[in-house]
Amino acid sequence: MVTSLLMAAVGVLFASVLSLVPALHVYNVAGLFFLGTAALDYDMPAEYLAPFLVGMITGYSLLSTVPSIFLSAPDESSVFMVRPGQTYLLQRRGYEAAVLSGIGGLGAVGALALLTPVAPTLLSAIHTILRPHLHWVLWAVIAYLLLSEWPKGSGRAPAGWLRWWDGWKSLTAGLVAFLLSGVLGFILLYRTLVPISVAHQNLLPAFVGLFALPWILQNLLSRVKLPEQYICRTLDLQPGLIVRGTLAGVMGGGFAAFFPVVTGGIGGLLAGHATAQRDDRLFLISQGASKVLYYCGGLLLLFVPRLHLTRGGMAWMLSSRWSSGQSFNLYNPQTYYLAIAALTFSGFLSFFALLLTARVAIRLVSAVDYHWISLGTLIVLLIIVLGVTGWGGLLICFVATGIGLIPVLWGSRQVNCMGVLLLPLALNMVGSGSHIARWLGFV
Amino acid sequence: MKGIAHFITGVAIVTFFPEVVQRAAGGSILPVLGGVAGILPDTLDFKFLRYFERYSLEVDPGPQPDALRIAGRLARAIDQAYGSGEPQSVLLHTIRLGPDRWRQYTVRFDAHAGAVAVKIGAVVDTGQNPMPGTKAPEIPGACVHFVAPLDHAYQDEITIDIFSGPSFTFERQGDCLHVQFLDWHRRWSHSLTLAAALGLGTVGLAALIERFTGPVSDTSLWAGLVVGLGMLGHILEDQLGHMGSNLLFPFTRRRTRGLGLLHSGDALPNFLTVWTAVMIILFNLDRFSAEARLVPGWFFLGSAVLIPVVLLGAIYHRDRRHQVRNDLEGLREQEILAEAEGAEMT
Repeated sequence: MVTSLLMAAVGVLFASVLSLVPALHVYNVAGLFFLGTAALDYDMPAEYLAPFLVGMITGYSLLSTVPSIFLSAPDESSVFMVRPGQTYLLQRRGYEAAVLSGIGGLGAVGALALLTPVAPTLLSAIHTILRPHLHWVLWAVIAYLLLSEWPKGSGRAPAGWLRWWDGWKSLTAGLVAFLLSGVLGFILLYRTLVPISVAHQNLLPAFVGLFALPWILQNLLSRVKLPEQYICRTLDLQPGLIVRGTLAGVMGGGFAAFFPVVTGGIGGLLAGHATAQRDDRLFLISQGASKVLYYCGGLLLLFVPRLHLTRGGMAWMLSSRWSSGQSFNLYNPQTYYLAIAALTFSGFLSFFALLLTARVAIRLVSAVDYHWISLGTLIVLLIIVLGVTGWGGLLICFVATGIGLIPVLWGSRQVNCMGVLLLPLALNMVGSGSHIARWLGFV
Repeated sequence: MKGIAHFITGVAIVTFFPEVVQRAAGGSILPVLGGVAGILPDTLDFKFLRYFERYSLEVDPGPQPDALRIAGRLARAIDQAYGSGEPQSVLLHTIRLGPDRWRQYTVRFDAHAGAVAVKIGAVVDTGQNPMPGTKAPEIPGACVHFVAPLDHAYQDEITIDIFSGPSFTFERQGDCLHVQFLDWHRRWSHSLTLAAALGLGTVGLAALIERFTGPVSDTSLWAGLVVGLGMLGHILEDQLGHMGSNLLFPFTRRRTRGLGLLHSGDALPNFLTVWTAVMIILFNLDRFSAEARLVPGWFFLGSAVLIPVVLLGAIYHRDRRHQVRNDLEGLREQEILAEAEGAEMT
């Protein structure tokens, strides 16, 4: 048990260092880790590997807030944090934003721990009920995602079609981004340029291009000058607000963790809408909670007795590495409780690691001009994409950046770019994916 | 109610029909149609109708706003509506200063004092957060009197900041002048007649599509029912608030006042609606499946629906009781402005 918790702590430490590299996703790192251990012909014992990965994903889900807020380099699950994060940064309150998100994350860890006794019975029943209905739930998510975005025009054009178009520009941009990213998803699914040897990193260039690079380019082009950041010692936060934010995030993140293809960003959006949030503090708490629930909850589903659901990249990698002959059984209640213990311990450690890394990030942004940081971030990202996925991946990344810039420039939701996953998989679920792929000339 | 509450209610309602659930389990997406119909009335209003509304007066303060000029134009519109008997619709534009910067200003109608007060506020970002040091004390506020007897108890300030501003219509009714906020909202798009017409239209359209692709089945009837009920759910939910809707357009011209049980922008009713709908969907999917797992059903509904609704509902109504007593008219206006604000923000 102690060794397992130590391995979880190592995972958190690993994630803490990696979190300072913008947009380096935990799934990509885990994939590279497996590749590395395979190259060295080393097989980490299962009883160490599981808590190590739990620690790593818990650390990542809490700490990835730092690059999202301070470097504006989000992944798909924290894309909603960029705008309020930048607002806080410009108000000298970047540290506060990171802490608020961390509080939400801690709340989500607590919620996962509280759900431990009922999860096996409850989740297996819900999974059985929903299994035949996943396709339409996914289409409902898509329909809501597109329908719930409202026009953002100034309303100054003459009443009539001109005024309508003024309002609809942003909506049209959102729809175009959704459709184009959907086509990109088909390309990745049927004709990817990423070499087969790193097929598990297929989404890396697309996600970096769709979600991280557009914000970085915007920072480079704009004349943003960050004020000196203030490290607060207290927070203006009532317990009711923490509960509301956490609950919203738990609901949204839980939904995202349970349903295939739905990511933490979408879960966070649904959570925000369901609780009619207007307070930025509430929003940041809920996004932090949603992210932790999405990543950690998704991995924990693999361990839940009578369920053992494989959701998220980490669970897929872990389950595929598991051989039936191992002495450590993945599918028994002891492993489940061990995973919960590792999660709780890692969550606690990660929160303090978050405070530390946020301070490091503050030092970085105060010592180095924000444009240089953005430029450095851009170069690091491109090197990662090129190094991991080659020139083909870099080309995908450039195309994805073009698509990802559409919502940034026209003021629509960045999450529309989730069409890259939602559209091809939803069409596949209703049996139309292959027809569309054929029509597009991909097969 | 927020869009997600209407959407999920539309889905929940149609899951009461075993035929819909069983078809959904077999690959159909009929429940999604219920959700889409559920959000449709607000989609029609906020994505279409508002842009075609023509106003008697559009107030565009510009980058150097003059509070006195804004208040004066509003006071004139009020007196003109009363004097001529012709309704005056007014749109207040926002003040955009940059891609993510807006100058906030507030308008207040004081019926007791017979005055319109306008105050220029801080610069805010699109998240409505004020930028430090941008309060504008150098721009004076203004108060202009009008003579018309305004029957309007709404005393709260109307804040105009991001995207497009609010609109309202001054209308003389007898010896009083009334203010209708967002007059284009919840008219024919929120009527039971439209719900019925769209349901029937969907039957026809679905039958036509089926006719082209194969034999006509009863799917078109279910599609029509799903659309009609999804919309009906939205209209009935809105009726729980203060503002209400024009339920029987074109037979009625005005909104029928709501029951006043909740405020559509409040967090708790929205959360409770979404929660209840999700639990009902789960319950219905389960009981119409081959083997029910959430047994006994009464226990599930009692613990997952009834207890949260009673507990949270009681807390909500306790908090609101004195508010309703104090300012019923104000709540109606607040509700509709909050709904518009929600539409802008999401």
